[in-house]
Order: sequence, then structure tokens, then C-alpha cells
Amino acid sequence: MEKISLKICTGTMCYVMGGAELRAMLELLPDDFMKRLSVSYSPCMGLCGDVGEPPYIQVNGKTISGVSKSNLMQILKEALNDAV
Amino acid sequence: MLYDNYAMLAKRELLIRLVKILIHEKLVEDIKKIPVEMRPREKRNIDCCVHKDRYIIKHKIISILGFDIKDEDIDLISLDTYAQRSLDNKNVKESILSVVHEACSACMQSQYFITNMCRGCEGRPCLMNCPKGAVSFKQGKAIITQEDCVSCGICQKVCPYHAIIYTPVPCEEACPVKAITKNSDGTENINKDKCIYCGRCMQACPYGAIMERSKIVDIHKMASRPGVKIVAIVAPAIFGQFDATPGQIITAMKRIGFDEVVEVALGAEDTARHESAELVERINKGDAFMTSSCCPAYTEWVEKHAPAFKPYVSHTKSPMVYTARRVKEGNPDAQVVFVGPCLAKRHEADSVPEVDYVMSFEEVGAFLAAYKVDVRECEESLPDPEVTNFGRGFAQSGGVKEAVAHATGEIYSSMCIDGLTKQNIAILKSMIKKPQAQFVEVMACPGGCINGPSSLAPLSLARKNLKQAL
Ligand code: SF4
Ligand code: SF4
Ligand code: FES
Repeated sequence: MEKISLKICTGTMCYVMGGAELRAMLELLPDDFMKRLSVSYSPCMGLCGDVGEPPYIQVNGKTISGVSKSNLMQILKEALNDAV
Repeated sequence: MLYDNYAMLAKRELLIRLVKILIHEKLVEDIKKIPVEMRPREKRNIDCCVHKDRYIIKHKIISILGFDIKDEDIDLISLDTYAQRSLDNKNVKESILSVVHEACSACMQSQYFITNMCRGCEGRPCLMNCPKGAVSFKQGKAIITQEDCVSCGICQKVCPYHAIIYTPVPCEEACPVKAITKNSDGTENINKDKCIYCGRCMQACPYGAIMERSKIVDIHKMASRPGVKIVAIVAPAIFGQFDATPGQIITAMKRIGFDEVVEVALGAEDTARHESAELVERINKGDAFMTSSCCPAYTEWVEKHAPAFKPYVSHTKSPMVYTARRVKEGNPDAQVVFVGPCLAKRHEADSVPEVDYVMSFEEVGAFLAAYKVDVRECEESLPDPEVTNFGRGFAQSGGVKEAVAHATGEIYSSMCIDGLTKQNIAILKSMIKKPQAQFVEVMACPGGCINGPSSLAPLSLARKNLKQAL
């Protein structure tokens, strides 16, 4: 099965504007969920020039803004469903 | 406790935008754009309309710049004038904390309230158990007559349907010393004779209506003045704020304009040494116990609310003071900026000649974001080899206790008051009659400084990050 690539921005703007806990949140995901993700971290993705809507992540290369602890799970679920 | 919420993010965005125009030397020119940029027409408005939202942001900006908003002036003076005034240093008699009345939603007075979950059951325990006869029934549903209610909460406990709720005033609920109360118009007012600057109200308000004054303008001015050496003395709690190594965090601080970065952990070791010697002396002289003195919200509490406690508080200076002294001894002309998560330190610093400015972790976050410094990408600076984990341990509750126990050879009993909560205040007060330990560490913030009111990282994350640093 193709893995979903998840890239989390750990740049300061994203970190300060609500993304601080996204990394820690992944540790809470169930193992079979994590198995299907390939997670990477990126320094500033360059999307926050005019502040914009941080925090940013990329799922399979697609940029998603305004990620929070509450919608991260939903975003990942949708990506997994699209993949099957 | 710090939870992610949009009011907090709005404050951070405001700081980031301010710092951005500050470092591009466009403060006066661009400051009036901020309310519009943050609340554009197409974005969902938060209050009644986009104009009120922008008006609130304007007030918050004025408050950050350090001006008291007392009269109608604010509508006659434009933001760029305020910006110019803050650049000219004309905000000297500002308060540390202020309520932005436009943002305060004048929450309902706290009360018990019966919701429509009430089924008007046959048992009606609310009616039978209210000691004040404040519950009655109308059209088969319970109602509370607010004039008679004394907020004892019995009706809520006995309702089998959980139909009765308590609506608090968040800031009043959070304040451990009843320093914040309602004006006649329903907005809040902080009583300076009672306030201990713990900052809890600021974190609790869901409208972000309580703002701390900031010195970012002055700090930036100093940092860009040629020939001036500006030194950041960083509280050990900073290592809990980022998912990076201490060496990287120190580098990051230099990138935002500081010529030198010194760990307050160094001064913490001085504090531990002096405090230990003092403890030995006091116990030998017959004192029952001694408390720590490094938390300024605690010492302020003693000053304003528990003067009987004064003889028990250590006279040792705080780590901030010792660290600042070390810096000024080596370099009397240096500008010293204390960097921490603490509102009360702003107050303490006002009376300490060695400390020139105070900067919060949220403000550090804003500078890092504005300068585009990625902490995790920074190269390692070599941390001061003199610093030990005992000094850095001051960041968490229990740390002072440990350092003192270590220095005194663990011969005295000790305990830790973890947070000036209402319960802990009662415990503290009982100690004069019934001491519980010979050394008592007191931290106003539950968890210690890593849970300070101007933190960036929530407590659980801060604990994890700090653990990696120690
Ligand atoms: S929590 Fe306090 S300051 Fe905030 S809106 Fe309510 S009454 Fe006003
Ligand atoms: S800072 Fe602390 S003491 Fe002062 S009003 Fe707020 S909650 Fe009360
Ligand atoms: S910090 Fe995340 S895009 Fe810049």
C-alpha cells in the first residue's frame, strides 16, 4: 500500500501560531495509522511571508493551512480514504 | 493553564505584525494597517461587525505599546501618533496590566442557572435543598431568583439531570486574590493594591481582553543602536519553549539582535547558595521554617495579602537579580533584558536597577517569527560550562527545593507549594501555626515557571522539551 506523506512545518511562525503540539500529537496516533504515514519535518516552508494562515502542513505534496490539533486527524483520515 | 485558543493566537499575531514593522523601521508608517490586515472584510467577524473588531485591535495595540486607555482620547489620537510616542519614550507611567474595555465582553455576573435540561421532576431536590429558598417553579420548570441565590451550588449537586450550570466570570475565577472585579458597567477593573501580577486573569480571559504592556519597541531601539551592548539574560524555562537544544536556543536569541546571551541558571546557583546559608543560619537561630523568595508573584502576595508571613521569607535575591549583577559587573554600560514567561518579573524589574527591560517568551516568539529564525535550524552555541542542572532546574516547581537540599546536604525537611491556588494559600497560611517543613519553596504558577502566563509551549510539551535539555 502507498504511504501517505505528511510533512509538518516546524518553522517558528507555524510553531508559535498553534503548531507547537502537532509533533507531539502524532505520538498519540494508533500504530496501524502511523504505519501508513511517512512523516517528515520541514523548516519554514516559506508560506508564512505575510503571516498567512499558519500552521502549515503538506499531505502528499498538497499544502494545507490553519491546521490544529482538532483537524489534523480529520485531514489525515481523508487522505487515507482517498488513497484506498 | 495554557490551552490553544484563538484569542491567544490573535495576541501572538498582533505581536508578530508589530515586530515585523518595527524591524523594518515602518512602525509609524504601517501601524494603522494592522487592524485592517488582521480583520479583513472577507473574514468572519468576531464581534458585531468588522469595525468593532478593528477597534478592539487598535485598543490592544495601544495597550501593548504601554499606554493607559482611560478617556476618550483614544478616539482622537491615531495609532501612528501612539507609535511615535512610544518611539519617543513617552509611555513612562504605564501600568503593567490593563483591561481593554472594548474587548471585555462584560461577562454575566457569575451565577447558577437552570437550563432547559430541567424536567421538572417529581423529586424536585433543588427546591427542597436550597437553603435560601431561591428555587421556585414556573410552568413546570425550576428557576432561580438571583437576588436570593448565595451561589452555594447545592441545587447543582442534587439535580439528577445535571440541568443546573454555573456560569463563571473567567478572569475573576482565575484570580487567587480577588483583585479583579466588575465596574458598574460590567467591565472588569484590576485593583492595583491587591494585584500580585500572577497573570492568571490574562490567560483565562476568552476575549484576550487583559493585556500586558510590552517593551518591544524600546528593546528593539537599544538592539539597533550602534555601540550599545544588549544582553539577554534568559530564564531556564526558555529551554522548555522550543523543540531544540539549549545551544540552538541561545544562537536563536543572538539572531534576533542580542549581543550576548547569559543563562539565569547561573544566578539561580547564586540564589541557591545564599538561600542555603540563610536557611542554616535561621534554623540555628530557632526559626521554624523559611520560604523561598525567587517568585515575585509570591513575594508580592506576602507583601499585599499576608504580611504576617514576611519574617519567614528568605532575603536572598532572585536569580534574575544575581544574573543581572554578574553582567553589569563585567560591563556596567550593557543593557540587560530579562527574558522569561513571567508577568510579575515586569513588576520586580521595575525596582531592580540592574535590569533594564523584560521580554516575554511570546515576544521572543514574535521576534523569531518576524526575523524568520528557525530555532531547530540554528547552529549550536556553546552553553556556559559553569551552569549546572541545579540552576536550570529552577524552571520547574521542585527545582529550588532540590538545589537547596543539595547545597545543605539534605539535612532539612522541605516541601513545595506548587501554585498559589486558593487551596494552597490556605495551606500556606496554616503554616505559621503549624509548620510542615523547614524549607518551603513557593511558586505562584502551578508547575513552576515553565507554566508561566506568557509561555509559548503548553505545560506538557514544555516539560518534555525541558527534560531533553537537562
Ligand atoms: S473574562 Fe473578564 S475580562 Fe474577559 S471578557 Fe469576561 S469579564 Fe471581561
Ligand atoms: S494578575 Fe493575578 S492577581 Fe492580578 S488581577 Fe490578574 S489574576 Fe488577579
Ligand atoms: S514557519 Fe511554517 S511556513 Fe514559515
